[in-house]
Amino acid sequence: MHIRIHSGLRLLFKIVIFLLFFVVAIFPVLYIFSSNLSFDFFSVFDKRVSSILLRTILLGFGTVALSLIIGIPFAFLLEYTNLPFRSFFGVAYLLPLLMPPYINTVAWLEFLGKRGDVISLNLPIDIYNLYSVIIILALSFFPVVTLITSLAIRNIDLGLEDAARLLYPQVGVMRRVTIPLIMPHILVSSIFVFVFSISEMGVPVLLMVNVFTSEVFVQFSAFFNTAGAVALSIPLIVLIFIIILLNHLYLGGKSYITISSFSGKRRLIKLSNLHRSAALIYVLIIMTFSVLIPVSVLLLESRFQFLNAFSETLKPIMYTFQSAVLSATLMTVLCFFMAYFYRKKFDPIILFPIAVPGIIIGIGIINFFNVDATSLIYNSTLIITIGHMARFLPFVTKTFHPFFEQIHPSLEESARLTGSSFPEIIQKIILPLMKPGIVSAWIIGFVLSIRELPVTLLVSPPGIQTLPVRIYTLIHYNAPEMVSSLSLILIFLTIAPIVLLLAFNRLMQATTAKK
Amino acid sequence: MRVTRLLSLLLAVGVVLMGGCIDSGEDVSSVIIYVAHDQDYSESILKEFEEETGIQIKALYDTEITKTAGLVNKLIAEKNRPRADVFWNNEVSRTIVLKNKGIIEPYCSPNAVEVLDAYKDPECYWTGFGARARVLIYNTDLVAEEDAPESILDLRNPEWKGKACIANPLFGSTASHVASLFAYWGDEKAMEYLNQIKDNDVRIVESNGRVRDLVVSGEFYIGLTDTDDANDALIENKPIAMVFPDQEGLGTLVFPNSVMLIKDGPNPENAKTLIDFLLSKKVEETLAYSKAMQIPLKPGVEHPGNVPDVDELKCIPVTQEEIYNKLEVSQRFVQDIFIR
Repeated sequence: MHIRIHSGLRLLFKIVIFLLFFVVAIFPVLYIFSSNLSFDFFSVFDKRVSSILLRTILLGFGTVALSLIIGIPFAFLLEYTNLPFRSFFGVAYLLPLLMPPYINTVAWLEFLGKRGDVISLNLPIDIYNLYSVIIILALSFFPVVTLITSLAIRNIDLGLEDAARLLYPQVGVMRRVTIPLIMPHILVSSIFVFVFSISEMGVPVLLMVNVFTSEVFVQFSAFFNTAGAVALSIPLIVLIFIIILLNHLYLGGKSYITISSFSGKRRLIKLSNLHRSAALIYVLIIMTFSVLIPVSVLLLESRFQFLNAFSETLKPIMYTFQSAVLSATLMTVLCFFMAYFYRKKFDPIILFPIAVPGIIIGIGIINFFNVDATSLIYNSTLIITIGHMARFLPFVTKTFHPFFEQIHPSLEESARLTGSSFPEIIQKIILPLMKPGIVSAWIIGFVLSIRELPVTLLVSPPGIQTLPVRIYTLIHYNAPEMVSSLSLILIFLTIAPIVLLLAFNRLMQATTAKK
Repeated sequence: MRVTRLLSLLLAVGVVLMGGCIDSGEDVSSVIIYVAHDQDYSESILKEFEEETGIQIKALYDTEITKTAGLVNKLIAEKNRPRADVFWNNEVSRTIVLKNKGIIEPYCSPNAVEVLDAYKDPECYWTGFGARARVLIYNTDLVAEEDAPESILDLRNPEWKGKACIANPLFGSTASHVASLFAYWGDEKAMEYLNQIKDNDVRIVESNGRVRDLVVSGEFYIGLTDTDDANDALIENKPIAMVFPDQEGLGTLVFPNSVMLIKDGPNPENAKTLIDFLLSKKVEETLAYSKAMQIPLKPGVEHPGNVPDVDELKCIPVTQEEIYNKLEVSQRFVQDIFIR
């Protein structure tokens, strides 16, 4: 009897999670697609558009390649070697991800071009091209690769590597055990980077490169043609599905389950002094280009006016922070259970919004939620959170997948056999093992939400303006002091809670270890 | 279990924040306005309205990233359940889009009577106030006054090859300007002109503000932009000068702000009060003296010396409806030749 009540509750809970997820993330998008899908496809898709599509694909693959080249070695240095200042870089590498790429672009334009007032190298090089877009985006997105890779390395059962070490030298262990185990994570991070880079609009616009997102945008902003925009977004959706399908095929039939039930400290590889210095230089160069230069340019250009900027923009700052924390938290909880209950069962549908341009999601949200039944939500800032969730739930869910894959079903089965209830299983078995997954899902949800622009812009209720929207408005006014100050504030707002979360996490680990 | 505690903490934070989001719903008399005009200029005018009438303003501003079309898209998407009462657009073409889609309704404000016919809708769907104009700018360090361009036709001249820039002609006032050429010259001549400036390597940049920045920095010698963007740089004594083009020939494009009443908006009476306020001479005067240096459309409105009289400016002799009617064909053409 007891067990039956619990399984009934479990089922109800499972259905509620499913409905919440679909109402927020899937229905609005499906709605706008079904009401605007036309066979008018070829009228918007001509030779000009296909060349822009090709350029966009090139941009996506280029950014992924460069992000992997930068991000994977970084993760290995952090997790396997005695890199100097290892614990510092173990947190610092996240900084580039926390800086919105359009802000980096403004900083680079000020630094290299003639845009800046204070410092400007004024180099005679043309930075208005596709390569600059790829470099700037890869310098912003490589931490996604490093983050997911190093969490994956940390989740590898040390026993497996130790066992392999008996048979193979270190390189062989990497090749035969480590790399196959983290490959699914690397692929997931590649998909993330690919999607981020092809859906990015700010950077290409600032660097005057025409990409596909701006074509979709033109259908809205120049022609007010929703059907055209929907038609144009189909190639991107198809492309992303092909990539996801390839990922599935690659993983098909292989098992990546690790019983991560006991953890210990990985023994670090002691690098020779020469190798250590080389590793340090590598890490420093990357940090210089991705963080140090943009931040210094912003600091100088801001003429240290951020206190002024802060007090003038207090309200937008509050809204931005509040809605990002809320979005990240709700997404983490919802996606945790979505991934737990359904694993990859609904993958094709869940991933559908990933490829949909933000502006279409925004219009879908308005159409779907601007009704009497939800007017309380629609007229409040909650609608911004709904917008963020609609856009980013798939990403957060996808973050959880590889982590759940590492938990062997037998763990849960044995718990159930010994009479543990569903809440007990979640609490005692799943949650402790999923801690790195929860932390990274929250961080990803938070970072994506706090800088979100297209959906926020469309769904914001009157009287509400978020910080990224304000920054974009000011870029137009050529107010470099305010833009730089507010950008620094946005970066700080993004970093602060993450540092707190990681510190809290470490503190908990320390206290648990003492026990 | 500490992880559970962490999760409950997160949940608690979520619930508290969610509570904070929902308005307690105070019943103050209010009006909701969507504003495409630059926030930095419009905000203070709306504050003045609040102080004068006691009606609370809830404003939503657009940004350059959506090419000020974000709000138009939002208004279209909200058609079945309008949330806005008033739309203050910074031009007219997209206003006519809203009119054709049945999103606005006529309101003949008593303050609209004095506005010149060219700058208001005959059926009172919209009324113009405070206009901007298209202008040529040049970098005064690089170009002598006597060599400065005087006509948009000069953009075809070899002396400016690769040295001139314009904003993306798919959007905003540049799109309207190009469409006005289609309306005035006819499609064939307008297309020929655009092909010529393309062959002359006129660079397409992201916005009118960017045109100004690039001419100020000397990356380009001349550019075509709006009066308000140019004036931003003039106020800061940047090395540029502004020319109202084609005063001897076809005339330049003068385009007003337009204000309109949203059909079935939540506060129609307050909306009309706000429209009357925005169409007052005082607001036109404020706009004329602001950084946006907008040209008054009603007679007898005081304005500073750098703002021209609207009857002294030679304008392209086409109506706003004619410009709108040419918008799609001109945008398609422009997209085809410039956006590759």
